Amino acid sequence: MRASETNDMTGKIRQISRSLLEAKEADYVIGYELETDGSVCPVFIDCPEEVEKLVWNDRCIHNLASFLKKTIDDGESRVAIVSKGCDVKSIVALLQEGQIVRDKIKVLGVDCSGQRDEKGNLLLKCKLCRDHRPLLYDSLIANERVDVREFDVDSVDYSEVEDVEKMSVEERLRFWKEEAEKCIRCYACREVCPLCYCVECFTDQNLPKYVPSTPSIKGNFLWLLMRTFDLAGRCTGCMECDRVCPVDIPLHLLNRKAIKDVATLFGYEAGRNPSEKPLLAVFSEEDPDEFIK
Amino acid sequence: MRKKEFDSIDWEPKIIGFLCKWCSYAGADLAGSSRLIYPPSINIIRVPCTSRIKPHFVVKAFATGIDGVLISGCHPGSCHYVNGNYKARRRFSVLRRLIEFMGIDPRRLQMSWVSASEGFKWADVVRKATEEIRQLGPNRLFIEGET
Repeated sequence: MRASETNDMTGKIRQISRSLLEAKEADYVIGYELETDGSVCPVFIDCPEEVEKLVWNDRCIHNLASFLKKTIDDGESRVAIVSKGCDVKSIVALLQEGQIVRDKIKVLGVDCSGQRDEKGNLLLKCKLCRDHRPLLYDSLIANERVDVREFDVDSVDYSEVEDVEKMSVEERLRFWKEEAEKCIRCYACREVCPLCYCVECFTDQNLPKYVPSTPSIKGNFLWLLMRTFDLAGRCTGCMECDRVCPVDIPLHLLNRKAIKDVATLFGYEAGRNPSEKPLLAVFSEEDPDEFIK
Repeated sequence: MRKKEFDSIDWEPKIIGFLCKWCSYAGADLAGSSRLIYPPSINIIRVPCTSRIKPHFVVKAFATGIDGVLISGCHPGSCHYVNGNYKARRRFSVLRRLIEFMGIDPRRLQMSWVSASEGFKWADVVRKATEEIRQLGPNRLFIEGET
């Protein structure tokens, strides 16, 4: 991204945030702040004097929608949030599930041309991204250089998922057990996920105990499986779990498998339409039933 | 104990059946009172509706060493709770594909619609499910030591 674009968009974000905070239309703004090492970290701004901290560049990886989980409990605060196209999908999914109130959220949608890691490589989620312009916003920080094509479901690339699908059942079991062996059950994937907001996670339940919560192959394998199931039809593919995993388990494979299945079985994609009901909360009489005897 | 069972030649599949109280459970009851003969491999758990079955139940059964799970409920359109079976159908079609992706044979998770009057169908479903799971062999998802 060019420096002029970055400065221009940073300026717009600061200007909108300042006016929101001064007019008391938002209690705080969730955005990105520059770190000393050149990377970017999330920041909460609650007074107009501090808006100069806010920045926008191509290192703004974090999905800030995760912080909206914290606003679920107190229904009072009005939040302005800087969001890329992928983050907005998480916000829409939260709206779909009735977890946040639309009037309390001000979405500062940002046109995003893709985020990069420390080495300057485009992230996987950005390679697959089709929503460079947010689907929903209150104010748009536009960038003419960003490609804002219409979404095309058929052209989504699932090649990595298909590679695993091509393996035999035994090979897949071995593959996932090896991955599960690495897991240390730190639950970073759960904490960072904008849609993991259950008051009590199934892995913490004791009566009944569904999944062993100690880091063992069995417990970890079941955690990976049921975590994916609980996100099926809800995961928007922001790949934050994949980013934060300290042992690099390819969680994106599992989530994208669920996204793929949901798309092929029901033609559904989470996080696109706030008025649509969540997939597994509704049904259709035409749902596939070839496996039922 | 399980290991011993694996090695023995007369291993029989162990199946857990989650049966909806209004249709399939009554159907299984009818099969029993009609003195139909079907394999004793199935252990039935009665649930109010197929939509009561949390997918975690199924996965926990596999983790415990059960060879197969059979979910059975009312035919579409005749759910006692209007649409519970439709919701269960959606849920388990997603779960089936996920367990397949992680290396559990999806044939271990069977689903059927059996009404209260279909004693014969119930016996047939259990027979076929047992046969299919017998061919898959014992569930070796987690071997001993992998707790």
